[in-house]
Amino acid sequence: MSGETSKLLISMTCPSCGGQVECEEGESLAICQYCDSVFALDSSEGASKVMYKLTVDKEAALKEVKSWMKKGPKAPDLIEESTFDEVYPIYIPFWRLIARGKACVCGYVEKKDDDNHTRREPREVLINREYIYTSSACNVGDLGLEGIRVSDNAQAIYFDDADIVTFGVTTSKDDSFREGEEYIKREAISDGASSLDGVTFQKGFVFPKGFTLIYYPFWVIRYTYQERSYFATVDGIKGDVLTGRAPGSVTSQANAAGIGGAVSGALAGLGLGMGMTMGEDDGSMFFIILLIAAVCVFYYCYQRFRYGDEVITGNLEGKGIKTGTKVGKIERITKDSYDHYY
Amino acid sequence: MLLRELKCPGCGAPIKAKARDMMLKCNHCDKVSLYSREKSSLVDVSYIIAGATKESGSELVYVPFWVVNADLDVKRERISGGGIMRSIKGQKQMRGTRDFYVCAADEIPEKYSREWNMNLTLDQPELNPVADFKGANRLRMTMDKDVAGENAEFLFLRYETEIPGTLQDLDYNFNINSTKVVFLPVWKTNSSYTIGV
Repeated sequence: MSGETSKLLISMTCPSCGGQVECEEGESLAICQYCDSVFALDSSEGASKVMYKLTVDKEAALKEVKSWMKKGPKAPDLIEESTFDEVYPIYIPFWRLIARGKACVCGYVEKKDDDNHTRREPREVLINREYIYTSSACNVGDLGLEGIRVSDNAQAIYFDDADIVTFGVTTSKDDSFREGEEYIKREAISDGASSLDGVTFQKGFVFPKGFTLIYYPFWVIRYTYQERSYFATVDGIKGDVLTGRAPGSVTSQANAAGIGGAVSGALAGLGLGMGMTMGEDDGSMFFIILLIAAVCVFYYCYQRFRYGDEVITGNLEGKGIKTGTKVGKIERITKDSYDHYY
Repeated sequence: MLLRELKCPGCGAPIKAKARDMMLKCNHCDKVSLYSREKSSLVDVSYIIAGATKESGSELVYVPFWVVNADLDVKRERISGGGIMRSIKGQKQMRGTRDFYVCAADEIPEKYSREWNMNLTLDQPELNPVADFKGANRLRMTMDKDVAGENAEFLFLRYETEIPGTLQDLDYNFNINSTKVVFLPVWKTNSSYTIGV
């Protein structure tokens, strides 16, 4: 969903003439193109309910997971030694709020003058952008799918819960709507404050355009490696691995311990040597810089060694080497932004 | 999700329209009603059609505005600099009770609606009501009544940032007294628009 706010588009049958009525997300009215009848979109839950068509097949999902297994510091024999226990599609419900966020943020930026004194220059910022808030409407358990970015080529279809395997909705519509409004308002203020060093006044507004319960398709792949269970989830439309757990590489852990110890030791030694041979001021500076670099290298390598027995992708929590990108609840729409900086 | 056919609150006839519009006209009794998202039905609405007092363009269209009458009580304000420019320009203070104009048609490009909203709110136009649209096009209303008030409040904050000086602190109350619909005449030439009041 990069360029603009998406418009979920589903077709329904006109009760008056039997023609097609196209319903767009965020619109509360629909019009029959054939008989010009006007309809209010009613939903028993108070929010439109739409599902997206699963377009990635089982083979493609498995292929993507195998490709993911080869990347990063995962066990080198992961594909050969793993047994794929379950591969199944599932729909997960998400609350999705599209709204325009507006904010007036005032404050200052700090600048150094010629005498190296810090002075404050007052600034005003007006934010006027569109945002999408998406949050899972159920307890997704260990899958870590709290948010989703809907693909541009996602195809919305009429929701029919008889045909699909899905998680039940467990979060309240009203609470989710309010949380969405708060998130968007906060994000608009935060966007305004991001160009300032200090904020002296802020006021945010949110103008909802559409609130929908969407059912998004995923593939869940559960596998076993050396008698331990792992999993990965694949976007059922884009085909990317979104979240997953995999065993780490023992070799990579050993390398982290060995190389990390050697490099950090060498850096610390070099710093000490330079500190002793160079003048007092320059030597101390080099010693401190190299010592900090040594500590950073040691800390990074220790983390790789300590938690390298598991690799975690996406939004999942827990100890392990983190890979992939986290998906937040808020998406900014860059098109039709009318921000002003004074 | 269900489709529920909208009926005229005056005569009960089914409403027919070519495009989505919050203000819908009954083809049977000519009554214009407002769609309420909250009630999911059409409700009675009173509106004013303002006649054109200036002529500038080839095609006359009527643009819907929400006119929000509100009391604006500024309790504290701190602006950094710009005092001299404000007094030279005779910058008006947006204070007290006034009508805030908020363009309610998304067909109008932002650069026009942004300017109109501010100018109409600062220099409140003398409206010359006319009985009907006299065959001119009426643009679709796309903004809910519910959000008109907050748009008006944001317009006030925008004004405070646009006047000379840099706003640093503001404490105010914005209380809405009433909200009504006004159709203003606009002259359209190709893709440019000029307000006709």
